[in-house]
Amino acid sequence: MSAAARIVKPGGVIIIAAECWDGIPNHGEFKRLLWEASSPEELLAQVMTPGFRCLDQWEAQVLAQIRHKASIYLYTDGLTEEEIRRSHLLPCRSVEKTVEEFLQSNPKATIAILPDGPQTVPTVAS
Amino acid sequence: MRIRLAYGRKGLTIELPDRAAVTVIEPEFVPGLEDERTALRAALASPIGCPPLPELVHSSDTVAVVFSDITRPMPNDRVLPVLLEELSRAGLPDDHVVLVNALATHRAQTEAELKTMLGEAVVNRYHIVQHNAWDEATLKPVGRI
Repeated sequence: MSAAARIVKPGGVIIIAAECWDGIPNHGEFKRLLWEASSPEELLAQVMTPGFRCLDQWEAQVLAQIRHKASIYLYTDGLTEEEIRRSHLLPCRSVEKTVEEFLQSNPKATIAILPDGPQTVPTVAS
Repeated sequence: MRIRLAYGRKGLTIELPDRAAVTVIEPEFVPGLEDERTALRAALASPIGCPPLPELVHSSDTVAVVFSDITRPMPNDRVLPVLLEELSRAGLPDDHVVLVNALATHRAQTEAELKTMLGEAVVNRYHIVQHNAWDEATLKPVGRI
């Protein structure tokens, strides 16, 4: 997600394909931080509150910051649609169909594909 | 355009329309070692900045080996047997070795998961401890940063 966020245009779309085989972890505070906030903005405001310190806050904070820049769709077998939405992401049942929908509304859209996800760290040439 | 995405253990192949302006960003391919075991043995025989294990380890010592947990793509099952064999050749009895699962704050692994990660032979032969960051009784302060 953060690899794609480096090159997505503001207001653009990130589609993540991740199996999430172990679900969303019950250990740590990632899930609680995400699910207790009603929006990414609320989550960021909480994290930015002076004196606020919480285990795993970086994970939730990074997700919320990326949500500020782009819409994030998640294709996964490991989470329910409700779990995806509560995590401030959008469910995606088919990567192809989601891409096709966006191409229809924006035929000139440019698409970058990172088949190995965070194994690549892309940068937009200045 | 067909593209195979890293997804779970099997991958996910997607087909995108040819009219789409697609850039595929891939890592540079680095071939694996031709003979892993030989390369590992050679590396253990000439470590960087310290003597090799047989010179460091005595049969009366105890040794803890820390290994990456299930959330990391570390081939423990291929590396640990070579390392443990080296300790054994240094004269260290099996019951002087403890393997510590570096879980940080992640959940403990199940027995079946440990067998997949480390190999059944290693799990059956050695004592394994799963680090528990929440159990102070099993932790000891060694300094503050």
